[in-house]
Amino acid sequence: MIWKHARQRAILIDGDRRSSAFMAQNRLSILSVCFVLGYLLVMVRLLDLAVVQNETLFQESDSVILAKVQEIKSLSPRRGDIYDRHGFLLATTLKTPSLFVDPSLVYDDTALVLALMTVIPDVNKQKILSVIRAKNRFGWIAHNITPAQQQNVLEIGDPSLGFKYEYKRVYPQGALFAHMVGYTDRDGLGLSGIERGYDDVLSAGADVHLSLDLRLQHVVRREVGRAMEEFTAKAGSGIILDVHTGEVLAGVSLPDFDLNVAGDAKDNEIFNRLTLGVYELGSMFKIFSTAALLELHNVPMSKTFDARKPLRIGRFTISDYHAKKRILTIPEIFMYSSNIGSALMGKMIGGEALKAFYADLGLLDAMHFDVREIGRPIVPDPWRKSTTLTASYGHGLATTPLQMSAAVASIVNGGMAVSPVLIKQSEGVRLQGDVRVVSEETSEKMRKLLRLVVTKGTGKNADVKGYALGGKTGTAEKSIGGRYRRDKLISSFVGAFPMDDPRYVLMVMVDEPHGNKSSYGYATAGWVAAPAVKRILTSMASILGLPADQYDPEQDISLSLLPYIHEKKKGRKRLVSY
Amino acid sequence: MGLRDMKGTLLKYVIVFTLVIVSGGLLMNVSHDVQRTEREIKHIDREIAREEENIRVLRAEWAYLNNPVRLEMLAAGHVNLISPEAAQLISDMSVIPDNDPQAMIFIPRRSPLHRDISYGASSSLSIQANDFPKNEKNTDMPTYKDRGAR
Repeated sequence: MIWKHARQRAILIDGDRRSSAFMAQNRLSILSVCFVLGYLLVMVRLLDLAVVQNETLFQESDSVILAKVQEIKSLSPRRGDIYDRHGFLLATTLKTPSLFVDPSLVYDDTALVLALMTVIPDVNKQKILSVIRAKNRFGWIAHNITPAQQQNVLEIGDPSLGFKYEYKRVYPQGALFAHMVGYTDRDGLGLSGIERGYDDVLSAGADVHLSLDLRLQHVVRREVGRAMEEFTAKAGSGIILDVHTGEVLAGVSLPDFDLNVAGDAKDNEIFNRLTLGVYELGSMFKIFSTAALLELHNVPMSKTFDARKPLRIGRFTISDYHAKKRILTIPEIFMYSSNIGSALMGKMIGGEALKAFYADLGLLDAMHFDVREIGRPIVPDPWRKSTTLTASYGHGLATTPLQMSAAVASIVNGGMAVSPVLIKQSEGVRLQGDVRVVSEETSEKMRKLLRLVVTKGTGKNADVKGYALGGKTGTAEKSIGGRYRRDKLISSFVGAFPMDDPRYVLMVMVDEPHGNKSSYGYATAGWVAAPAVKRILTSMASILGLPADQYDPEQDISLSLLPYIHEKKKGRKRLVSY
Repeated sequence: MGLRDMKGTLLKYVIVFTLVIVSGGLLMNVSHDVQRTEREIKHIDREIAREEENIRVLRAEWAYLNNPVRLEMLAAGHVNLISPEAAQLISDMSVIPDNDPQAMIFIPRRSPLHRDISYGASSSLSIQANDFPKNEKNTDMPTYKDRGAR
């Protein structure tokens, strides 16, 4: 009350001076209130940091300090994955840690090396020591270590160690798709197979779905491998092709290698025998010379050719491996695989026409394929008169197995040219191109002839009960240093089924097989490659669920050719193929 | 300046300062919330990336475990069945006598031929045939022991 009274009096007495002092007092009190509030805020914040957020903050600092993990942001986009036609993973890219050391931070180098050696078993002690003792600030210790190894390194707790994350290409199927999928270098540049052929797509981060079927691929690889082992062969290859879409369902070249350690592969293993290797596949060419004859000349099946005596053209003598020594009809020439008969057919077709026909089938040029390792066929040059005769049974012409199977597919599918692809095509696509190679009628005649080879001829060992498989054997002597060697053969079999409306072409090629007891010493296609195709078809039927009761032997398409076969029924007949 | 005016000024100051402090406090709270949420997002993003990476690893692992060479080896060791012959594949289900009590299911015993299948050159897998218990002479169902694929 006194204060109030005094204030009133002061105002009355000395208004202005008193009031300014009075105001300063007021401001001071307001400021002090502000400070109190400010301190209160700081206290609240402290409480918040120390108690409320304590947990999350601690976690973060923990992970930062312990892991020293450098998040990768500068890496290029992750390479796309590769899948088979049903979505099985064939190639993927994983982020894996790589261990480095900063030598300037190393305290005790021998202790560090010892610790590292217990954690990462496959390090070289001397190499690591030299890295650690180097006078720089960075050195690699191990690339692409496993998560478990990374954890162990973290437990060493040495401040000089650190991780950089790198992408690593992983191939879960190992060697199974060696030549089709291919591999990359460490920087992710595709070096072979699809990795190379689709490098631009994959490196942009897009996935690729192949036409290959993991299960069929395995079956083909297993059976080609088995044929190679049984007949102690040097190499082999096999393929399954969809005759309508040109999709390669399985493509194998043996010997092969594990894609995950492609750097250790030998040249012999890296070589792609399916698309890059060119081989004289022999009698398989009779499919094309016979088709050319039926297509270009309106000859009946009963047309005969004199195969009684070997043919002499210049310095060539054309003879039959297992001569019938009589006049043969077209079905007989085909099923016994008579060279003389085919040569005479070639003579009738003429050089230019035969060459043009082969060219239409894509047998004389390097083909386009999704895998870029493509072999260029060897074509006789110059093409002489005698060449026409020898080329009609495949002598002197070398092609890739892929090319051969595609040409066969073009013949049997109704006559439309097939260009093989390794990329999955959308469902329901029937035919890729609209280039006709032979007419429907010729295609049908050829299907009958091919079926006949399996029911009666050189391909009997490929016959599977319940399936109308047709095919042709091909056994050729290898030309080494310009000379043909009787003891070094290429034995192959190309088949298609079901023969009344083919869907698949199967081919197996075996390089330098040796006869054994089970084949009575023969190393020819009928004994080596035909049984392999049979086993592939058997497994394939159960994988794809193709029932065996759809085929009626009474309705077999080759039955209509029987009237043209004049077989002498005497003695035990040996199966031959040449 | 009168006493009334001074009281008014004082009130104004108090109100303004209170507002400033309250709004300042609110702003601090909001910015703090934003910071925390951003941290959380970063954390979750990192976790998602880590999980995605784990999924990739697991998918690769799954593909590896489904390698047909390995599966065939496991089947040869643990399953007492053989692959069907081509002739056993039928499209007409009515021929199966499933309603016939006299009918018996016949499971063929494994022939020795099917056991040792060789796989051609350089099998990449670390699994060898003898990693798995082999079906010895008596063809009883073997007990399954997971010895670990790797």
